[in-house]
Amino acid sequence: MEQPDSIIHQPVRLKIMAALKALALADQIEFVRLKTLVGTTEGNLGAHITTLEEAGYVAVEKDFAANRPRTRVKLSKAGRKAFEDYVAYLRDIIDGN
Amino acid sequence: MSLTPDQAAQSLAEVESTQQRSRQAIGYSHSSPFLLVVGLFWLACYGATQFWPQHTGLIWGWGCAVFGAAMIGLMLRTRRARLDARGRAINRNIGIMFGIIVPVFAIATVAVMWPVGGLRIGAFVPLLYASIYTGMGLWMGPRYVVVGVAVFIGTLVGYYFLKEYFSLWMAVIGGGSMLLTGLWLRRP
Repeated sequence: MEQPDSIIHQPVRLKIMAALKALALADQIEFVRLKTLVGTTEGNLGAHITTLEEAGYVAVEKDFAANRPRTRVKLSKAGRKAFEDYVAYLRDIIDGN
Repeated sequence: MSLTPDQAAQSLAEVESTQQRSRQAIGYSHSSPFLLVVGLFWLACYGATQFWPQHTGLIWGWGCAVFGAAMIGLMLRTRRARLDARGRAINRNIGIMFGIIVPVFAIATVAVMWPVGGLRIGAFVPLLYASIYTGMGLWMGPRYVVVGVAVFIGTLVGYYFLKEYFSLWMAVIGGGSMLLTGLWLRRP
């Protein structure tokens, strides 16, 4: 990879992708839990998730649980691949390749 | 938009740290229902033992049967849930450890040490669970250490200073700690 993926390169989006990658393909994470993991505000997280969703890197599912709105996020196959490529890009830089 | 090796190393460290926290968070949410079941089991059985000590054998016999069934139910529910292979493995292993290995070890140990009074058995099992939770916490997250240490200390306080109300104490402190921790693990 000559240039890093500009979508993932942004630090908050990189954290979001890292948090989601740890969950594996079928797993989803709730928005509030993701907010704690990434350590950002609700508005900021929402904006970055929209960017990732538009890029096809994450899938967002909204429903109700116990009569309360719930938003869950998971990594798409394209997102998983893009994240793995980005991590490989970082490792290449560290290794001097 | 290229990075220096130092910047890349910093980004990679951030990625690994976030992934570690994410795994810990999902581990907490997976083990929450199991702690809630243990908490309800202790609350019901220790509480009933305090008020109907003449039926202790019956209470714990039925309690263990219901507890075992609940653990199996949780494991089966996990198989149907939309978890990945790692999540299912975590849940299955937690269920096997707390639903089978620990009870069998506790029963075998009491049998070897027999005759042992009811109070000692009542303290031994929570001390065993508390030690395991504390040990688990060293790998899986500090919240397990908190509940482990709380139950361990609570059990010793009850055993040495509140013998007459030990079962009631364990229902509230042991069962209550497990229930609160089960709810705590569900929180982000």
